Amino acid sequence: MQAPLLEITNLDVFYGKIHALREVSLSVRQGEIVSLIGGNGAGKTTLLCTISGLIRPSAGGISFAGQDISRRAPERIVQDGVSHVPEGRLVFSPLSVADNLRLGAYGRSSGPGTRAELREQAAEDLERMYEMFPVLRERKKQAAGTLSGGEQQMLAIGRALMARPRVLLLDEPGMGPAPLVTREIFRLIVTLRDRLGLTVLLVEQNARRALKIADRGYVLETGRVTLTGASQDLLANHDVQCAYLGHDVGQNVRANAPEKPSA
Amino acid sequence: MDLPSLLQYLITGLTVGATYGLTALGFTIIFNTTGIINFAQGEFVMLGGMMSVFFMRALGLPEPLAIVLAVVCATLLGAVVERLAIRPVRDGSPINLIIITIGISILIRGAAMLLWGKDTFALPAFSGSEPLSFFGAALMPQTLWVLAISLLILAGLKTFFSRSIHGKAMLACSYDPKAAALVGIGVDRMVLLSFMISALVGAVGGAILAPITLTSFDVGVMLGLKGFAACILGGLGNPFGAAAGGLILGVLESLGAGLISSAYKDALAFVILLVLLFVRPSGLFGQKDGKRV
Ligand SMILES: Nc1ncnc2c1ncn2[C@@H]1O[C@H](COP(=O)(O)OP(=O)(O)OP(=O)(O)O)[C@@H](O)[C@H]1O
Ligand SMILES: [Mg+2]
Repeated sequence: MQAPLLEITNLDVFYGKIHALREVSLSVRQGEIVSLIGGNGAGKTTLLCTISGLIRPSAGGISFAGQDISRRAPERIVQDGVSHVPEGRLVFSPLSVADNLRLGAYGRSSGPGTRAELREQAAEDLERMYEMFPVLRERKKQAAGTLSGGEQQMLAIGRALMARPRVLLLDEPGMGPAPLVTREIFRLIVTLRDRLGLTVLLVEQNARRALKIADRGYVLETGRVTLTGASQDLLANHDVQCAYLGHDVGQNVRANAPEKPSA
Repeated sequence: MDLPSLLQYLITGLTVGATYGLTALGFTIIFNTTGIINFAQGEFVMLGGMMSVFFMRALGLPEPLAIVLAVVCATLLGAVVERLAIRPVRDGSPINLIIITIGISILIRGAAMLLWGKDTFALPAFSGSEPLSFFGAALMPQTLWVLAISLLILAGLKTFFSRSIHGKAMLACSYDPKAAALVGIGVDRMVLLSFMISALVGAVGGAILAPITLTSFDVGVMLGLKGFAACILGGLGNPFGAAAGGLILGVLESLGAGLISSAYKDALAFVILLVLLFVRPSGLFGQKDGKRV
């Protein structure tokens, strides 16, 4: 079996005294879609932010393509090939859609190649984004803040793709937009993996939605990984059903359910 | 009042106003990348003038060279200030940072006084001091220099922020530093750059104004406050508004001094500011609900 492209080992993260991640280990192989599920405040966003360098871990390692990236600056990590689409999208509201996309390639502007080559590359990528998201082409001159929630999510994904990442970290891309748009976004994630060979770590609260497209999943509870396995197994797992799939199994059954792996 | 004297006030106002505008631009650039009001901005204006004088007298450099050197030094000092005083505490609250900038301004002013004393200095006009006649009003050649250089800088900055990807990256840092880092923008580098650019703009303003208004170690206080007033007048965060605010303030001040009394010249700027804050807190050119910070 090939070595994981992204491997996280025994990661500990603190916010002051709050212990937000406890010895979290997780791995994602090239071309996989792995989903990370868990309730509010479980630490999902914290984990993604730690991978992308916005938060420093106090212990543990993050290796990407065989290199330790846990001490690198966020802009460097983007250049290395890990792009993070943050929770709440965070588009640059007053800037135009086109400028938002162009800024997505900013990290590459100091990469290899002459300036003219880089500019041409960025123009080609921009064109590909417009093909992938026709709505963005229609609105390319509009300020990003005036887009609908779903359109902003597409813009945020497009902006991240402009960096030509190998791994995409997605934080609740299905949050907010209408169900139809959400479905479209999830279909797109699969397309990106199938066509471009992109590797995806997908954070979701809606476990069913996420596990349907993922190969494997991890369950995070109060900063710990409590369960992991193939998506079908997690979907069939009794505890996951109770906690995240909204199955009405009743108080009794829940009380008699076997203990979760110790927290 | 007759036309020539009205024109005269207008010219004087525009000249001084251009410097207020440049100072205001300096505030705007730093505010736009960091959300900080840099109250040391006026000191860079002072340094532009004082260092030009110093390089001419002490090193015997020709004036253009002295000014270029002064601007370069001020720009580097802007970088030093950011690295030593701002970056280590960047994550602190904006109020703390603003207080630090006030501390920096006191430090720079003190150092300037120790180095150059409390005297007032004049820088020679760039191209003679023979006034030109303009519809009956006297137009000093230096006025033309001030207006032309200010316009040039404004146009340069406008191009930088609206055309260059680096300018947009700098704006992106202000809209969302986290998202900026995530697209590969080195936020630290952008903040450093913003301090350098605003020091540069301020120093240029100080150097071009020095032949007209004289300069001394403490001119930065008033210029800084007026520049800040111009910023608010034009709507904080809006570069065009900052420049326009500077010009408007300069003209109103000059008219006020001519029509009422020059004794109230400095007070006028702040009266205008206060009135505006009551009537239209987002500034003349700001959006109505222009809350950003
Ligand atoms: N900046 C912060 N300062 C202090 N505590 C924080 C900070 N950010 C997050 N936390 C805490 O860390 C824990 C994990 O938060 P995190 O945002 O990672 O959860 P999450 O799984 O993404 O939740 P959600 O599904 O609501 O987005 C929570 O208890 C939260 O209160
Ligand atoms: Mg979250």
